[in-house]
Amino acid sequence: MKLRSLVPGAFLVLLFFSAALVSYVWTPFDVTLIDIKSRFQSPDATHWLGTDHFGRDLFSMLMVGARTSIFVAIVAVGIGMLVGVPLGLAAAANTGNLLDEVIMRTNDMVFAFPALLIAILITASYGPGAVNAIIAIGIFNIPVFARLSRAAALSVWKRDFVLAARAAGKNALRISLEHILPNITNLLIVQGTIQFSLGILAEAGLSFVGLGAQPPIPSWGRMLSDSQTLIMTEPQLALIPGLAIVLTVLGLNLLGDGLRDWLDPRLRRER
Amino acid sequence: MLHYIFKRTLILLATLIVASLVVFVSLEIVPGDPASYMLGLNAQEDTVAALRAELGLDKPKIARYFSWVSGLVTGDFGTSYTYRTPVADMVQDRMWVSLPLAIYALALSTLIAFPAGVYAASRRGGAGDTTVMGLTQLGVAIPNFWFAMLLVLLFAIKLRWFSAGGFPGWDAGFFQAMKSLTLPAIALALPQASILTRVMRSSLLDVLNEDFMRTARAKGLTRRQALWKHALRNAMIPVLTIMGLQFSFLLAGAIIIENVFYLPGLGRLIFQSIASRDLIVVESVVMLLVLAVVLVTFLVDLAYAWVDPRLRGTR
Amino acid sequence: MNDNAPLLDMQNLNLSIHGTSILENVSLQLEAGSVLGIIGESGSGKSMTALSIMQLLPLGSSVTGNIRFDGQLITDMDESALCDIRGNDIGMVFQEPMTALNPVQNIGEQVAECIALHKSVSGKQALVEAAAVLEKVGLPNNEFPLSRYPHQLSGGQRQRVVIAIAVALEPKLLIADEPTTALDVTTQAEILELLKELVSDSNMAMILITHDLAVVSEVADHMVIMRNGQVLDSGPTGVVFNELAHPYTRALYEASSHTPERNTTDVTEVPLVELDKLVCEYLMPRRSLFGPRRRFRAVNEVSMSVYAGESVGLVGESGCGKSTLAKALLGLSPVQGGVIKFGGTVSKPGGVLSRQLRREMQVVFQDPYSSFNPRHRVARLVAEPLYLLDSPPSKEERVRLINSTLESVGLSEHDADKYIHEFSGGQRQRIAIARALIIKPALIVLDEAVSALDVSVRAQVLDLLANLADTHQLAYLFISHDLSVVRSITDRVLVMKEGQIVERGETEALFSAPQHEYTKKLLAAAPQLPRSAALSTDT
Repeated sequence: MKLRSLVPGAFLVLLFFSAALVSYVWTPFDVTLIDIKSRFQSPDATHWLGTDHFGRDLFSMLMVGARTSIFVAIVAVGIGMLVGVPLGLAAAANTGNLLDEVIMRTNDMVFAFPALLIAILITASYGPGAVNAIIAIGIFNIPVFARLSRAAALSVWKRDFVLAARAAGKNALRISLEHILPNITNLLIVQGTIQFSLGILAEAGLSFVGLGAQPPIPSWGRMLSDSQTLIMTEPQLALIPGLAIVLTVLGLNLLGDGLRDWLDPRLRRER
Repeated sequence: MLHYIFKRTLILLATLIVASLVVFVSLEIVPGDPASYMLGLNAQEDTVAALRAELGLDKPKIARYFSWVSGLVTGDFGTSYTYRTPVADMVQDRMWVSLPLAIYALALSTLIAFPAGVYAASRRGGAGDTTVMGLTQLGVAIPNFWFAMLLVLLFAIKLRWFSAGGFPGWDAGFFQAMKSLTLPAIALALPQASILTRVMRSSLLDVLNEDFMRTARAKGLTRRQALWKHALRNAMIPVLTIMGLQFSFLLAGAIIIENVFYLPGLGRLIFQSIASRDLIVVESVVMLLVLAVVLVTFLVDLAYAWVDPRLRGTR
Repeated sequence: MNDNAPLLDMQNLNLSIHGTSILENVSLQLEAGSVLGIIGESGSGKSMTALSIMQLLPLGSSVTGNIRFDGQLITDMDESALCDIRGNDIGMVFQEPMTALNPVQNIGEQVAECIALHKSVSGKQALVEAAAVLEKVGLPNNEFPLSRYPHQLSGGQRQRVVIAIAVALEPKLLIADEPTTALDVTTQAEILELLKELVSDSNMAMILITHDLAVVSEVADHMVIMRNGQVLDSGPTGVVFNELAHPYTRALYEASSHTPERNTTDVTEVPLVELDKLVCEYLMPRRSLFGPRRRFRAVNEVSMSVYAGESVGLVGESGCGKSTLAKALLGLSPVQGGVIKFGGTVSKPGGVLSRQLRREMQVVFQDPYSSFNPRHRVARLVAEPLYLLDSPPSKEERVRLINSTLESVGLSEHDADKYIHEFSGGQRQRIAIARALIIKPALIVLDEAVSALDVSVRAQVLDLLANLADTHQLAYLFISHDLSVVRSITDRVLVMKEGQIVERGETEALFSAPQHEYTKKLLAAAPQLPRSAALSTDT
């Protein structure tokens, strides 16, 4: 039962990860190569998925686009986890104190700024770019992880083994590392895959409106916005990158669901 | 109850103040001067200075912050650098596209998600549940702007039921206006409805396992009666949280979707303003969006108290 | 319908859930107006027996056998006929009053719903009747208006609301599944009294499911003893207790009244630990907008001492402050006033307990399931207090210590590599004791350490504790709500109420001649096991 979503999820994720990795050393065509003569070609043996309005090979662009998406999403989730989890743990260890209150209220405030607004602010100040997307998505991820790890940590702090550790003279930092963190990693991993998939969607959205990666770096979102004016005549240019996003996000979500069932013994019997 | 509302109101105000600071600081530390940008590279220095004075850019930053905030409070959003018209007027026109769009989408998403979530939870593990869950899995994975393009392809280009974009304005009649917002609203609502369905289902399933559901059955209620009378209201608490968060996603999503459908909303305005470095417009629109998000969070907090008597604070 | 037929007749009931057998050939009968006690330890299938009568079994259940209620075959009924019976002819009360009520509905609505469902009355009329029922179960309307929500009531009051729902329509049968297990002893006595009254007033039959022999002996006419899904013994309550015919019945009875053998060692003159006017306070949530936060004094100027090698009991009902006192002593809970003296050292109020002091005191908690980090192996769990040593032991020394400690609590060195989920509740408490023991403390605080265990396991753990105290010269602070356990294992007892010690003395003297009103009330409320002729002839 539990393998039902884990295996296809892992397969899809692996597929796009390897495409992204391979693109560093090899792509069928150079994605910066503009070849107007061979534009709008249908899929064939040379151009597996056809070419776009500049004659660029769509398959190669998808591979490099996967790289951009995955890179932006991974770094953004990494920022969210690295900052958010310690904040959440600190808040839980000092629950009811000023520190807890400050951390949680700051979180609430960040929640008032959807990633898009943060990206707009950054772009308005410093101009567009992939780094903006990373920072914007990353900042928005911080409160997600802070809240989750605080709530999860609080429930672990209530358990008696934490009291036993305190009776053994361990301080809050040590208890957080030895007892709290290992008991919330499963949750963090599952949330990590969910945020990762949301990050890919957000990156695509930001580059779709021109706030993300800038030319000549290919990105799925910009491939879609480029195809917008051509949608009547060349709908496949819109369909293919869209499908790539859907499959990647679907894969990540399936993987997350599968991991949750697999990691949580209580859920193994259910669903 | 009063205590609860008071505390929420304080949080609301504090969030707005901090948000205004964040917006102001992040846009005021911008390299580059709007005045010289507007006048072009060859502008005379005294002309730039005159324009700076006219726009109030020569005053100290703190004074500008306070005049900006007091302007916001009184509805005077300042004058657009590029269009030289009051920002308030520009924003007002655009808001009547973006806000209805977000609310329309929220309504659609709720109307889809509630029945779907209840249906899936009550048929847990069955074929109906599996189908609904599979569809939502797909729904969360589809980017709304891509779904919007697909909708245009199918309903505007192939079937010609709707126009591919544009907005006739509310003067053209409620029905016409709503019709042109329908495809964008569907595109926005689909992913959110999928998320909400999943939350609704899992929240209901959690409640169905509670002891008081057994008490309800022991009274002689059927499974269905127990679900409607006891489970639903208890399951609403996490659902409300997600609905509140979704509103901010819908507003943000609306900004992107407006680009697909060429809707003259806040999204189009903000991107034009960024392109022309009309920062005062950007500031005001971002502040307005933050205000909307924060107000919705506030409403959700109040709704909690309505749903859950334990929060009303009569301990 | 035959007048002589029993109200409830269960014949050869077999139940399996997802293929696992839960009940095997369970047969029992109940006459109208009489009380049947079903006794069993955890996993005996007693609750599932009750749920099969209600036909509210979990998904994946398959049942064979017959249940006949009031002449009708329940096992053949369709769902709508069952819904007519539930709440109307059979009412049910559950164990956990804190979660048995819908938190977002007021109590009036919840009682009235049951009335309106089965009787064709208006909503208003149903509320009027609900008020009358609540009055009957001891929740007078002037004090407890219908508009109260569950969270505004105490556990005992909530259980009364659950009972009101169950008896609102004067059913022929009331099923009470561990109705008092989650309650304090005085509340338990009141609820049992209420149930007895309701049964005799309205000629209702009752099935009382419990793990507590003493409770059943006070209430039931007949009893059935279950284990592993089978009925082992049954008969009129008096006869079963007197004869203890079945070996398991006898074992249960002996375990329930078990007194471990202890050497009462001579107590030294100098106290090991002394608490002097200890005060612990909590901040309460604000009530008014700007008012100061009120403080709740959980422990109010308590002075007490424990001498080396002595076992001191601390009894009291939930919320009396006994656990807070223990945590304060262990340095796990902040102290607002008073001092803790240990040996020669005196702790500062609010100060952090020194490592040296912590080394002398360890603790065993109640819940065997939350007491251990599920991600660590037993060796690491048991060795945790070694962190308090100034010079950590060498690897070999550490392994040797872990193994010898595990052996001293009756486990083997093979257990060191296992994870905690591989152990039963009783074994887990042994591991918890090993964890406390490994650093060779002078005092172990046992906070309800045997309360979550079945009686037979509890007896073994009590024996182990008595044994360890003798061999290691340990002092215990034994905190419990269970008076009979405290009586069997302590030398001295302190009775705590509302943050203060109201009475203290030698255990036997205090139990046989209590002085304070509250102690008397506690002792009177505790259910007593009847003497058994079978055992008195043996000895």
